[in-house]
Amino acid sequence: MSKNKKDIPMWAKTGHAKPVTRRDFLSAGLIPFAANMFVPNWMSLLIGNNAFGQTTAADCPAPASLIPFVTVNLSGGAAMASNFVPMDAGRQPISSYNKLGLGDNKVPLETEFGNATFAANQVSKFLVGVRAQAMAATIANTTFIGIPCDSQNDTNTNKFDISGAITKAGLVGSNLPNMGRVNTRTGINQMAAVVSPPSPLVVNNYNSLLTSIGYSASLGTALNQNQKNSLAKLMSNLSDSQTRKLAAIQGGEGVKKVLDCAGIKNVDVVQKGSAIVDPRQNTAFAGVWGVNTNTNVGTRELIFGAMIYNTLIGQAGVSNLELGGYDYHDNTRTSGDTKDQDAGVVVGRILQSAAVLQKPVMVYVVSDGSVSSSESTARNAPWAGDRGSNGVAYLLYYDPSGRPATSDFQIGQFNDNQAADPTFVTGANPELTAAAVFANWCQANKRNDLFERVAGRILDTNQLAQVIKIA
Amino acid sequence: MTNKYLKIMLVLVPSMAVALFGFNNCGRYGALQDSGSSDSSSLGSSSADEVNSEKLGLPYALLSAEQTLSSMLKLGNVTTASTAVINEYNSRYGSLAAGNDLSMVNGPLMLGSTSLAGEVCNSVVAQERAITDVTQRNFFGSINFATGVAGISDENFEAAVRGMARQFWGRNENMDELTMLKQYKTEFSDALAANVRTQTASASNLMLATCAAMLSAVDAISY
Repeated sequence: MSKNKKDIPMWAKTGHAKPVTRRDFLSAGLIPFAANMFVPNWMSLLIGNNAFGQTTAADCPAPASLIPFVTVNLSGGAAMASNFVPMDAGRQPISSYNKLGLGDNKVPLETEFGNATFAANQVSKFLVGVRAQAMAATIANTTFIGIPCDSQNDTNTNKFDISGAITKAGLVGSNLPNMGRVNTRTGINQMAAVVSPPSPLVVNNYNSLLTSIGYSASLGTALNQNQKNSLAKLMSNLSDSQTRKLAAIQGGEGVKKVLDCAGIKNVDVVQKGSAIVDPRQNTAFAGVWGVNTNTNVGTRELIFGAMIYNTLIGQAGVSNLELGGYDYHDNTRTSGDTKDQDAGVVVGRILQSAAVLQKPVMVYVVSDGSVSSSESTARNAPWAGDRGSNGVAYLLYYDPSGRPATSDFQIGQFNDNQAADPTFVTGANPELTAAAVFANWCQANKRNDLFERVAGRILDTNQLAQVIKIA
Repeated sequence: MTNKYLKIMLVLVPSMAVALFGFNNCGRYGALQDSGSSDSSSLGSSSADEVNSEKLGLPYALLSAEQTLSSMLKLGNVTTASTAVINEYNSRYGSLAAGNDLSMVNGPLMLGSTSLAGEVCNSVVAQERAITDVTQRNFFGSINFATGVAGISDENFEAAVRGMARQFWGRNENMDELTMLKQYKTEFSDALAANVRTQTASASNLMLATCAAMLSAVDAISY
């Protein structure tokens, strides 16, 4: 029987207000409110206060078999477009390089790492530095990709750091977290792209790395090893107990897990002892960095060597290295050349370290902005000022089994303004440049699923096809 | 009439059920555990949507490095930081928190906090031992250091724990915590040769470690 729509509704006949409907509840937010308010108590009634459970080692991040990753930040704005020589969209020289300290467009070039183009005749001091440290066989197993990208000069606010996404994708250390050199959230003077990394261990000197995995000072001398092991266990248990209040708060479970896992990992770490972080236990590795038992704990090579050693063997997560002094536009070429060569030396040592340990490694070299010369035909024109528009980031990938195949040596291009082409997806956006690096790291791991799971759709399918160069 | 109410209830009750189970994060860990691949353990924990306690608006925060040192000295009634405390603080500074986000806690931060607390507690133990009138001690009035760890009964130990809990955590210890601390006392003693358990240093070391543990526990380094 069909309903007569002109009938007076039941509720009107009774003199009451219109009944409350599901939509009324929803618009008032009552249902979500009820969900938030009642379910935790209701769950507790059923399964008690232990409903949130105790975190166990199985719940904590475990090292995955992923390619170790190192960032080298050249703080200040390095002349990266004058070491690697960027090409146009057709991979031909741009019309001139006279603002890049390289003269006209007949720059003598040499290729290295496959087809990557560098300023020849030792003009690329970065390349000179790499060759001084990495053996020819190591370079032969390394590929290189240049990524033109405009970035802000002389600042720590460019979102170039990708350690958060790499960590979130599963590259975590078995005993140490991700590491950095500067007391910032990323450990370098760059902001996080895509996702913030876990707080890094800031390695001020070698001792800070050595002591970071054990008890020191009074506790170090007063307790024997068994007592230290018991103390680590006590701290883990106390932490688990005292963070239960977090689990009762919406969003607090994840934070509780971070704290609990730190304690759980320490139980294992303390048992192993601090010697496990020492790179000097491998003589060949120590030789790459020129360190020995007499090396001062504040020596950069010992600090960098220790960080790289622990990252390469999977004991630590991402290593973020910081090199200062790259705001070198002092109207000479001398300061800049010295610093560029030093960057090459560090990168060369990282590659050679991986070769010694027979581990793959991806090295991401970034800076904040760049420099320019006055317009000049000289191929060694001095650096005159900041010019972030001609910034470039480098990505090097070493594989002990052979040079990784790539489809190109450059992501994006330079234009005839002698600048990164801003119309390309990564050309004017450091965060998308970092995302492109992450996409290539995922590709190198044959785990493209990780990209969307970690970075979502920050780069769409078409853009990913443009930026992924690792075959 | 009744039918209309029934219809409303038929819609409302399932809707409430969906809202209750769908929108309160009950499914978070379950979903992550289903993520499949062999690497899912790492993805599982690290793909938690957000763990920054400040962004989440959690009513708890972590003490920064500077706040940690200041707080430990204050809680331990140590008016002047010794050279050893300052050295340990400087040595561990890079491991301690750069801000107040609880998710900054990692393994090195916990070890660093406990080591720093150990150095502060070294001052605390020295101060307390120097007070011969045990009734005037703040924490260790029940402890006869001269007898070694063998002479510290559970009751003596519990009294010391109670004093530190009230000072460091602002509350009494709960049963779980007391059980853990007493278990540590047992393991600490078991790790010593019988003749060492009666030495003065063993009692000092037990109280040093207990103090360090409690002074660097989550409730002492957060607020």
